[in-house]
Amino acid sequence: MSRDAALLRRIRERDEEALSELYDQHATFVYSLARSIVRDDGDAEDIVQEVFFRLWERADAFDPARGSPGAWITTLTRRLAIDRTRSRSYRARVREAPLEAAAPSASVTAGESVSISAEANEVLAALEQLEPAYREVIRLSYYEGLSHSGIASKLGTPLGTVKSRLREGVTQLRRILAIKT
Amino acid sequence: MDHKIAFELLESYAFGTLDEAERAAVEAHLLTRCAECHARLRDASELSVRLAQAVPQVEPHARMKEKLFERIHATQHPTKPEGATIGRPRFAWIVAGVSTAAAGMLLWQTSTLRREVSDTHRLLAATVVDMGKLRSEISSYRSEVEKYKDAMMLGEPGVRFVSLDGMEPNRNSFGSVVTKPDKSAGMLYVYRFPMAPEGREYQLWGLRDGLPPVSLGTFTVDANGTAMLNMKSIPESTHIVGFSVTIEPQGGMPQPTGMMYVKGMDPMETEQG
Repeated sequence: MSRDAALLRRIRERDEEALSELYDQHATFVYSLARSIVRDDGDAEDIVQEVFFRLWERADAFDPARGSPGAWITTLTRRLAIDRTRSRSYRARVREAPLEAAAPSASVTAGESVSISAEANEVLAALEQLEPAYREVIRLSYYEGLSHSGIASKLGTPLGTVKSRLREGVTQLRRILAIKT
Repeated sequence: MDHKIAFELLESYAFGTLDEAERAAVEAHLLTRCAECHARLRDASELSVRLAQAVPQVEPHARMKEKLFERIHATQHPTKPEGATIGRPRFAWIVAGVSTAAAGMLLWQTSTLRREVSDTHRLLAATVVDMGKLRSEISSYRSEVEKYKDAMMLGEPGVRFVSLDGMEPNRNSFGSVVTKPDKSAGMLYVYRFPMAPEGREYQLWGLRDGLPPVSLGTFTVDANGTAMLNMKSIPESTHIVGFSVTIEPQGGMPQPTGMMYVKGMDPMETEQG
């Protein structure tokens, strides 16, 4: 059993120390990921709190058949962040003050502690290797959080083409990154 | 949702870009333990982790961890009562329990209200906030508090208590129904329910011996998976021997059609029956 899975098992038993460890392990990742999507520090902080609160409340919902604990945390973070960008109040705010360009080249404020890991460089290099049509669909889906229909509308491409490009792009990326599950 | 459609949506499910209805439909298919879809989802999910690593890492403020634990301590869920059924000799405990639980819920809800308002004020200072919506939210919280006051009035001798247990695959959901001695009115409390997909809501049913269930109202749950339903008048109350909750289209259905989340039988009816 992985360290994260063991922590989740302890969290199910209401072990606050386990939650504290899981937080220390993943908070920077969750905050950075949320921030790259919502592009607002306050919103990103809210999402970090919501993610770990849900892990505490719903640790028993973790299903290893669907992926690792890290995958679960990633999906939950992205879902909450994307849902927030689709909310009425968020969209009203964006109309008031247009946001910066999308991640992964999300900007940071001077003085912030930012690290670009070797893993990040590897992923960016893998994206570069994709055919442009696949890369664009993955960029819009993953880094801009657009739905299938949102991508189709933005690119002027049929919905079926978007779906097939996304599926093929994911398959190619997995091959390039040699991801085995 | 059939396999082919679910399979097409798995990448977007892992990336978190589906809308609520699509997400709920994919989750429903995943519950069938479709091996091909689970394998594809694992692949897409692990890729999602790797793609997330391309995001520049920024450390969050240290105060955030304290806030998380403050929230956890402030919103501890009431624990499920020991034993699924409670019989006649324990009435005194039931009355005390209902009053205490209702008071606890009132305090908890008040604490939640304070925190929500505080969060909303912070948001107001930093962003554009719809003031009309804020007032409406505060008003709805106040009405929730009023409902808990109603619940406290149920703490009278002879009150009935039915424990509701989670049904597969939602074994973690649970709840209770507390009714007046003649079952003419009551309160439903549910905990650890998933958020209902868009266009769907939960529906409470009164179960009757040998007769179709009767609808006792619909409800939605808050972000913590908690809800309370005030049944000011229970139809067919003398025939009701138990309660269940199913998920149904918005507005409810004449008879249950969706998945059952919790169910419980009235121990007093069982004893008499």
